[in-house]
Amino acid sequence: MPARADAVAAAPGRTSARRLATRLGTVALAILLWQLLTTGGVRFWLSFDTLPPPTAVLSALLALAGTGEFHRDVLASLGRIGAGSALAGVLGTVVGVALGRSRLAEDSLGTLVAITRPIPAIALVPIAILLFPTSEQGIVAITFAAAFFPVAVSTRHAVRALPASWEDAVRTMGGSRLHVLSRVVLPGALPGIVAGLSVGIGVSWVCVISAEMISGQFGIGYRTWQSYTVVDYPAVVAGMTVIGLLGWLTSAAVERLGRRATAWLPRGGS
Amino acid sequence: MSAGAALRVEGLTVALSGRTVLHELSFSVAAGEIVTVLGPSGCGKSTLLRVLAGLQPFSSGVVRAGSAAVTGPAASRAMAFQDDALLPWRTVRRNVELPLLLQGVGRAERRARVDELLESVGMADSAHLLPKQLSGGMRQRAQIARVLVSEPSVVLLDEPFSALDVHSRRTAQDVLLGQWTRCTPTIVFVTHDVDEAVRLGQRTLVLSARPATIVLERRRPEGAGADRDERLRAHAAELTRALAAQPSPAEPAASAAAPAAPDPVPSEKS
Repeated sequence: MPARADAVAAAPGRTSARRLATRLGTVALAILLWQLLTTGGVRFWLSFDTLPPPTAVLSALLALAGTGEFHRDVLASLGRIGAGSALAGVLGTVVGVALGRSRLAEDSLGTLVAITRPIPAIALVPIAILLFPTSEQGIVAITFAAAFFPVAVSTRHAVRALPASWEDAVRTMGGSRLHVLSRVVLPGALPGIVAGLSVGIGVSWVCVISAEMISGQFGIGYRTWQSYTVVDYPAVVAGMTVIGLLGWLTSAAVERLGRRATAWLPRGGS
Repeated sequence: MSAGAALRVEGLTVALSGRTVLHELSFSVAAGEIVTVLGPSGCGKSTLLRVLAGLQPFSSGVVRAGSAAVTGPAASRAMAFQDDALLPWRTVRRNVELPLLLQGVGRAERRARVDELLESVGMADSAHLLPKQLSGGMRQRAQIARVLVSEPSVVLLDEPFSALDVHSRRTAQDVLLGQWTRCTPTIVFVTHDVDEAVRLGQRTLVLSARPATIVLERRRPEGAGADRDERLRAHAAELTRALAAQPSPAEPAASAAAPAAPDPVPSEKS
């Protein structure tokens, strides 16, 4: 029996090792291509000869990583993303559930949501500067606005799609409206909430970096823009790389959380 | 009306979005009795059950459970659904204990009662599984355990076994009858299957097509006389005739489609 279990376990292990190799190989290949294009000074419509090569970016990155300033910038950006997404997760869920379950909420709140949703969060920067006493609060508000709409809309869809019999079953057990919310609606809509959050966090990275470039005093977006104003191109690309890595890490974290929260969905292995 | 009636319906009329679904229904169910309700599909059998559960408001008439008028759902009137309505993120055990949890029963007593019930429906070994890991028949047995765990005085079942294969259906019926023998709740069981209605129902009501009225009410012949099988066959035949006399909603659509069907020659070309 143990031998069989090992044989079964080995197959997925081998698959994930192969997939990891493919991922790393693809990144390595892209970096190699970048190195060849830049050091070769290729000018073929695009001017690669002015772009810093990966080796220069790597040394800029290493120099950056040693400074306390860099750590403060990374923590500042992560903090803004964390605060904005947490607010968006809570308020987006509350509004999404209200929109999904109440006609009054749909007609009142829903109309406001429908009108404000098409406005890109980054277009709120001037308003945020006006409204909030500090630029820090303004940046968090923009990050929140970016993640709020995906969460609210996705939650509303998930709530509407819940089978009526789940709610009826809890009500015929003597469950109150609060029980229906806590035992049926919230856990049932969780896959939708997580899906909205995973889209929202991607949009909030775009917005937090842009907002930092416009009005921040620190943060990885601000630092990248500063490097550009002093014409330090390797540091600009190093900043971009850090943004990419941070965005990827936060998305992976949300996705991991999502898989755990939705293990009960009918798809996937039992 | 008998004094010991667990359920009493007088002049019940229900309209859904302007169309009369149930018209002037009157009947009563004695405490501890099993009544089956037969009717063509779409005739309003489920609506009747939802009225009895307190989930469906009605236009006129009187619906009483014991001495109290039915104004909303209550834990004393449990309901089982055609789709098993198990909450997919809860294991079998946590689904079955849900009514007790909502009614504020303590942990130790919940555990003892769930264990006992799961044992008696033959699901003790599946307590830790999620609904997606169970067969249809097991899911319905889990639902029956969940409906009976709080020992409701009235149990309403809406075609719970209609999607099961013959063997699982029979097992589930046996489980239900076994549980009824233990605690004799009043049961109203809706089905479109005459054999199921005869096997489970001490008494059977046959509903007409929409707007539904009661067209036949028959008590099942009891006793172990030599002619028992013959009397049961006659009982089933009478119910079948009453049901067959009702136009099924599928029939007009089928007959309308028949003349419109293209003759074989052009269909061969396509």
